[in-house]
Amino acid sequence: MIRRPDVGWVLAELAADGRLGAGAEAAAEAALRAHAAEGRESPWVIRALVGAGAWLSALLLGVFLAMMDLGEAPQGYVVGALAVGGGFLLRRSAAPGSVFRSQIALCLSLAGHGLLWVLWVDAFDETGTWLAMALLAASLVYFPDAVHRFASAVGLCVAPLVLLGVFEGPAAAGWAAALGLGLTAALWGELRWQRSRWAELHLPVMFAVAGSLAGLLVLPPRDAAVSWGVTATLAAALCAVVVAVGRAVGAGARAVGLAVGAVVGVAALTGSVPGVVAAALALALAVWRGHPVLFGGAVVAFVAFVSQYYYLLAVPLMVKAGALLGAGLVLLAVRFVAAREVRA
Amino acid sequence: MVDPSPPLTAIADPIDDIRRDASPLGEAATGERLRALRRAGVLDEAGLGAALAVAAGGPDAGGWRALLDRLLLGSGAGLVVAGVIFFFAANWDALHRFGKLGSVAALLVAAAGWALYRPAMASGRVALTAAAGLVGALLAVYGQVYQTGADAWQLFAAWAVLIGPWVVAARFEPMVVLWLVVAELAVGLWWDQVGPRRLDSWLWVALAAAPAAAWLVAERLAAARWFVRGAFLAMVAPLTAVVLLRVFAEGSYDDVGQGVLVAVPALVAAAVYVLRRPGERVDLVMATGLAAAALTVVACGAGRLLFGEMDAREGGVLLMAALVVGEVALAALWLRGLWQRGAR
Repeated sequence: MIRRPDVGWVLAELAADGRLGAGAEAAAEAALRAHAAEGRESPWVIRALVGAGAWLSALLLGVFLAMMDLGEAPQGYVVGALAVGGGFLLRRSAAPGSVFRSQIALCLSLAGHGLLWVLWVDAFDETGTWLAMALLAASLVYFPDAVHRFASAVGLCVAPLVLLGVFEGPAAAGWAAALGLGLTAALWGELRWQRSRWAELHLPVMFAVAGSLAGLLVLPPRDAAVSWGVTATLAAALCAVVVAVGRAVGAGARAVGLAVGAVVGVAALTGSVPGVVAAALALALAVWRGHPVLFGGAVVAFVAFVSQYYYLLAVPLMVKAGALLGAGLVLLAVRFVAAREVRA
Repeated sequence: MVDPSPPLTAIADPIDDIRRDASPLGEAATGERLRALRRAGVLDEAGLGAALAVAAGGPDAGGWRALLDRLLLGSGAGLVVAGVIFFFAANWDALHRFGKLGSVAALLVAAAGWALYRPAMASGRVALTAAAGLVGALLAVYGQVYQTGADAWQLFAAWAVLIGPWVVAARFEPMVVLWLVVAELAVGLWWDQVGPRRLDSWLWVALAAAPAAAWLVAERLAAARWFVRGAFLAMVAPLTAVVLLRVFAEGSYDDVGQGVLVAVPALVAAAVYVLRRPGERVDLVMATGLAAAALTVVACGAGRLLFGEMDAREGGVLLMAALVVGEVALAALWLRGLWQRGAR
């Protein structure tokens, strides 16, 4: 498990640097208690429950609207716009701790988004998707709810593929590589992003990009050259992260070289399943920035992608066995060498 | 007082983690909390930047080393085992029976030998877990080579019995997870092959038994938090399935729903234990699991009533959407209250 340092320790570090005066700890404790009491934040597990409930209720509302034949009729536009607008106004006017209002707003808005997207794509095809993307972008920025922002960001990650009409092949693989680079940029530049006026978008966007990346790589590209291209791109990003981390912790050139060598070795052996290196990249980024949920997701993705490798018919089973065995031995050899160096 | 120990270390002590101080200063230094401190005037703009840099700066060199040591060991060993499995899958038909048995046995002896050589080290525990997995492979190969005619449940039952002493001796959570999966498969297959051979509530009660025992033992031994939570949720899920069977059962207290007489008291006892333990903080993930179980039962009960008894249509779907919104909001309020009173 990984976790971020706690607030108290961070404040102690700042105090040791002379950045905080006496009494800051008590003031911070009071401020955080007030912050929690206002309902401005929730633990991830409550957010997950609320998100799942919002999805389910929005789905039921969507089914209701479909049963009323609103998915095809012109009045569907009015109902969809009312649902999105009503949800937006309800959420904007809700106090931070108002769970009922927030939940109704989420349900209304998600169902409205779904209805409008279906109607637009059905009526305008490509233009409809552009309209939906514009609505999603506006919701991402202006709808002040992490669950909704996550949903909007996922929609934006998927929309280009809807636009292209493909969910696998070179275009999807290229988009997956772009998402991998986006994830790297989002976590590499986390400090700058967290200080900007868009700070509240950081976590929803980061998790949406990571989830979309994993989802896209579930269907690996059938073209070997494309797979290798995605793996090479993600491996390059991972090497850059390794070098940056090495600099940050003051690791020697030999240690950094060893780590980069391990990344290149694993990438060379698992190039036909880009998900393995993508999971390793997410793992490294999660540890670097202290995101335990991303870390857990990356571990699950790593196991899933290694399992997926078994079913990749384009690669002979003996080649897969050799690749996995080789990659495992590379990692164990790196651990052995590193342990020896530490002991020395 | 603020704990001066450096929590930037990547690997958190789970026992320490579960008993962290109830002060909000003991919470993870997320960007949201640090920005709340900025809004409250505890930090100035430069202080916020410094705090974010400390909080998201990642582990120090020692933390990275410790984490990489485990990651390289776990993923390296996992890939080697996967490679070996793939190799046998590719060459199975070509291998002589002695070759099949001998190769698996040799791997088993090598893994167990390493565990004996380094019993207290992480590598020793991982090796013993691999050996426990290979016991199942050896039994499967033996059954396949000599066509023993044994049912599949006997293989899994024998596997669980044979590795039981290793599991007890190692006290290694991933190994207990392996044992639980094997034991659950043995129970499920026995039920299907020689037991009652129909889906009834006692099957789900039986499936809840092993995770329940694992949870209670893990609580007593203060095992890793993820394991305690996982075992608890693995117990709650089948017990909830028992109640759902009763909800959807046609007759009253027929053999489909009798297990509810065990499941409901067990769920209530678990809830009391989790929520009312004197001197212990409530675990939020477990509380959320209980809430999710209750929400599922209520929603399914309402669905049964609306669509099974009252034959509701569009109105029923709309009512279900409203019910989901309401019950999830209530659950979120309750959980948030627990969290504000110190649940973690």
